[in-house]
Amino acid sequence: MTSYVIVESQDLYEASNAKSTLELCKNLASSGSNVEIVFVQNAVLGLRGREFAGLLAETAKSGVKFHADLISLQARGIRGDEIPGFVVPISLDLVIDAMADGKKMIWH
Amino acid sequence: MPKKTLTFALMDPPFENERTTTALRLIEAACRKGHNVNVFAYEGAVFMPFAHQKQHANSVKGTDLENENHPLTRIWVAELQQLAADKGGRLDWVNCGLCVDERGANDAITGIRRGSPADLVQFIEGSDNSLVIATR
Repeated sequence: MTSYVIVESQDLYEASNAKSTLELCKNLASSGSNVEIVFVQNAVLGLRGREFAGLLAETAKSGVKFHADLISLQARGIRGDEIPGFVVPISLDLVIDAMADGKKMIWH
Repeated sequence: MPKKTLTFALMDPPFENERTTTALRLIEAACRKGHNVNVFAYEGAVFMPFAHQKQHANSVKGTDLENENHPLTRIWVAELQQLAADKGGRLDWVNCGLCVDERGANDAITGIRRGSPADLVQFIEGSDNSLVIATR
């Protein structure tokens, strides 16, 4: 089974194609791949609030694992209780471990 | 985890975008874990290890040179080279020669190599994995 790690750096509020990344994740997961998405930089802003809650939950329901860079969250004053429970704050070590494991990497 | 060889391709110039910080954080994590790391810097990223970067005071904030302590990417890159060596790996950083010539960014810190896109191909072929951190 192919494993993908997609690093999303674009702000969901500003970059319309960031929503396409979630669609890509959902389609890959639905086709049987292991898919993880890592939110970094301004991408973490979209995790807070209701604006994208439905889209994020729908993507998670398809089997996609959600991570958010802890430093990106902290830099923007976003607390753990402000993001969906299925989003796990992580260090960027996770990305390096995924690369070392040979997972397919995509930066957006 | 066994040592792997990981390649990063960077495009962004320093001092402009958070992608630079994120890229260096990723490279730091890879070096800290003892992996061999390749970096192919092209376009504005060739200025990241530019030897003539200088700290400056900030008259807007009223800070002098020492208190401003402005971060310089050439220092971070040098520290990453040292970190890689300390952890038993290596950081092989190649600046795209065409991009260097266009920008006059010839003077890089010690250990930076000049190369071409062919080096990126060799990096990728010789790596366990690669990540291209492109500008949008």
